[in-house]
Order: sequence, then C-alpha cells, then structure tokens
Amino acid sequence: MSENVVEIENLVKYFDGRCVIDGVNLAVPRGCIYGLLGRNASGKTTIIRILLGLEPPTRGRTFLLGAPSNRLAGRTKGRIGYVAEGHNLIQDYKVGRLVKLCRDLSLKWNDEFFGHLIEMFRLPMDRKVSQLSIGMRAQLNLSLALATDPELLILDDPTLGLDTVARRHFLELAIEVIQQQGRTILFSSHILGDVERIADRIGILVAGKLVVDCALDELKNRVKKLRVIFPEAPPENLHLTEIIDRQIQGREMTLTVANWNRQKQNMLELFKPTSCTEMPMSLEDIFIECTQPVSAVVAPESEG
Amino acid sequence: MLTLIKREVEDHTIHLLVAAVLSTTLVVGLVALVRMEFTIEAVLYTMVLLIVAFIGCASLGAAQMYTDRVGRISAFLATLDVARMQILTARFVVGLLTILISLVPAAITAAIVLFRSVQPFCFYSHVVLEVSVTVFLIALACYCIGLQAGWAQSKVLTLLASVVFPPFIMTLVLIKGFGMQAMVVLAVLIAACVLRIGAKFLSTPL
Repeated sequence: MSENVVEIENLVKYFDGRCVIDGVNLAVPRGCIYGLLGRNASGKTTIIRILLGLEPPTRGRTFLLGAPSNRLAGRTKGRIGYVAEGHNLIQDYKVGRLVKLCRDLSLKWNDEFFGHLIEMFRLPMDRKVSQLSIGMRAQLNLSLALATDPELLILDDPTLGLDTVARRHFLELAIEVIQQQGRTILFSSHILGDVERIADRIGILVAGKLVVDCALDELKNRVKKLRVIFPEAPPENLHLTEIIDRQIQGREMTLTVANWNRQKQNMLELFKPTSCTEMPMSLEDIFIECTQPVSAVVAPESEG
Repeated sequence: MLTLIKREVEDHTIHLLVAAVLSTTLVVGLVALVRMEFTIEAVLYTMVLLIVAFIGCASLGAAQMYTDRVGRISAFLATLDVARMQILTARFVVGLLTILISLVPAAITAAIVLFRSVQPFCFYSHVVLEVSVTVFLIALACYCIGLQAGWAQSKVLTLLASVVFPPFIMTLVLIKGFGMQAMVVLAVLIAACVLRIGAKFLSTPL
C-alpha cells in the first residue's frame, strides 16, 4: 500500500476557459496533518472536490488511499471522512433521520463515540438540519465524519462561520481524535492561527499554483524576514534570488527572502551591512508574503 | 442499496400515494368502461386518467432529479460509502415501482373484466398484453424524460417538460397503435434516455 494517503499528479482544471488549478503536484503522507492554504478562489475547494471525485479534472490524476479519485469504490469512501465547506448536509431532513441514513449507509459506524459527540455538542435530533445554526451544522457534520473512524479526514474550511470558542472546540476535538488514532488530515482554512497550531505540513496555493509545499518548521526556516542596516544607502541590487519583498527606508532595508540558505547569507554579507537582524514571522506573515502577486516558490524539502 | 431505495421512497411518498389513488381510479374507470359498454364518455374518462398517470410519471422523474440538484443530495450521498451508480439505480427502482403500482392493478382488472364480459377471451388476450406493455412503456418513457428534464436547474423548464412531453408521446400510439412497432420506438427512446441520464449523472460535477 502506498505511504501517501493523498496524491496529486499534474492536476489542471479549467472552468469556462479559465484555469483555476495549474499543474499542481502534491503528496500527503500517512499520519500527516496537511494545511492547504490560499486566498479566496485560489483553488483549494476545487482540489478537494476533485480528490473526492465530485468534480472531474481537466488533466492530471488524483488518488485517495491509493485509489484513483474518479473510481472511488464505496469501501474506499468508507475510510474517508469529509466535512464540506458550508456543511453540505441534506437540509430538509431532521437530524435524527440524517444520522440514521448515514449510519445505515456506512460500512463502519462507532455508535458509542457518535453518541458521545452528540451529547457533547447537545445536538437536537428532532430539529431539521436547515433550522440548525451554522455552528451546530458544523458540529453535526464533523460528528458524522468522525463516527465512521476515518483513516483520512478532509476538512474544507470547517470552521467557517464559527465563533472563536466553537472554532477552538471544533479543532481540538478533530485533532485530538485523529492524532490519537494516527490518522491523516487534509485541512483547508483561512484562519491561519488554527493551521499554525495543528499542521505539520503546509501547502500554499496562489492562483491555482502550489507555491509552497513543505513542513511548517521548514517553511519558517526557509522564509526569512531580515532588517538589514547599511553604513550608507542600501545597494540597488543585492544579487539575491527569490526575494519576495523588499522595502527601503533610509539606510534600512527590510527584506523577505524565500529558500534562505548559507549561500544567500554569504552574498548579503559581501555588502558589509552594519547589522542584520532576523524578524520573527508567523505563518500569517509568511502567507501574506507568499500570496503577493509576485512571489517565489518555496520548494519541498527533497528539492532544497 | 435498500437504504437508498428506502430514502427515495420516503422522499417521494406523495408520488407513491398519488400512484395508488390513480391506480384505484383506473381500476374503477376500467370497470365502468365495460359496464357502460364502451361509451365515448367512458373511453374519454379512461384516456384522461392515463394522461394524468403519464404526467405523474414524468413529474416523479423530474421531482427526483430536481430536488436532488437543488438540495445537493447526491453531492452529500456521494461522500458516504455509496457509488453514484447506486444512487441512480435506487432512484430508477423507485420510479419503476411507482409505475407498476399505478398500472399493474389496472392491467389485471382489464384482463379480468374482459375475461368475464367478452368471450372468447383467448381472442383478446394478446390485445390486453400489447395494450398493457405499450402503456407501461409510455409511462416509463415519460418517467425517463422527467428524469432528464429534472436535471435542468430551471423550475419552469422542468414543469413544462413534465406536462408537455407525455401527451406528445401518447400521440405515438395514435399513429402506430398499440403493438410491436410502438413498443420498439418506445424501447429505443427509453434506452437512449437511460444511457444519457447515466452518462450525465456519473460524470457531472456534484
């Protein structure tokens, strides 16, 4: 069996002649919590939908648990839990009926655990799904996804619309359960604090291209923001490649560089700066830098 | 599969109830037809009932697909341990069941009534069979067209197709009569519709 639970090879998707996914390659190893980031309409949901076989790709191949996405058998789907963006549940059904339907259609169902979740979230079984608040729908969706003990949990912006407490609760539960059982999570979100807290590996999509695909720690090591002070006016050209952003104010230059390494450091030192201080960057800072119109590609570890 | 069929039945209970009522009315109509010695009123009454039954079949197909598309039901079901083909098969089974509920009692009644009132029955038996099979195929064709029409997201288009197509298909019988020729044309139409729906449902984004 393949060690990669999710595999994407040269994925391309066009909608009405517009390219929304542009040659994405991605592999998520077993046991990994992968955070897929990107601005609105960057292609995150499309990738997830193609992975689940809900949307056909224009080109390229995708695999989930070793099976091609366009031919996922019921048995393979039974090993995947999915929380859709906007919590796409059958709105006309009462919660109890929806739960029964999911239970009857699932090959594996952990009744005890599901009961525990329902009790914890205090979900009313006699109310229609459409009458639930967004938070309750999110909790119901997560409970249904977790009740099947999935090997792979795919969460597409699951905390959208949740308040801070519910969001924290939601994430902690998902992560606690999945980590205990050594499962894999593919997780897309706009709330970068959440992603930073839980993800081991990060992918950043910009206009359908995967510009970052590496471990979170590796990303933080590779993307550096430096405050460099020169004795005189900063040089026009530093001869450094992969500069994401550069701002000059008097003798001071603030520089954000991708794939920072010894060679680049030596190159910078040739200009004999008075001081060179590294500024701490959160994932949010890195994300903002990487999603600028002209951003460098942060290569995966193997290529680094 | 049984769970999916049960879900479809529960979601379209109203259609099954209407089918049962229609079936009873058709049986009564057939009995009246014979007792009134095939008067023009009785024939018209039966014809109207049949048209209503065909429109009902088309509307069932349209309702199944339209509610699915609008409520994104298959999009949800397809993320569970279910293949798209199973969802479509369950839908088709329920459609077939509804058609049988509406027409089988009427066909049996027609055979019994003719057997009792018009002799020798062996002379008419193949007519009963041909009429029953043709009526069943018209109902099935209407249902399949309803399935196709329901996939369109326009409510008006769906409604129009459900109402306009059944009488249009019935004109085929006026031209060809009840018999093998009409059956073949209807079978080809049904096969084409089923293939088209299958291909569309299995490949469309959900």
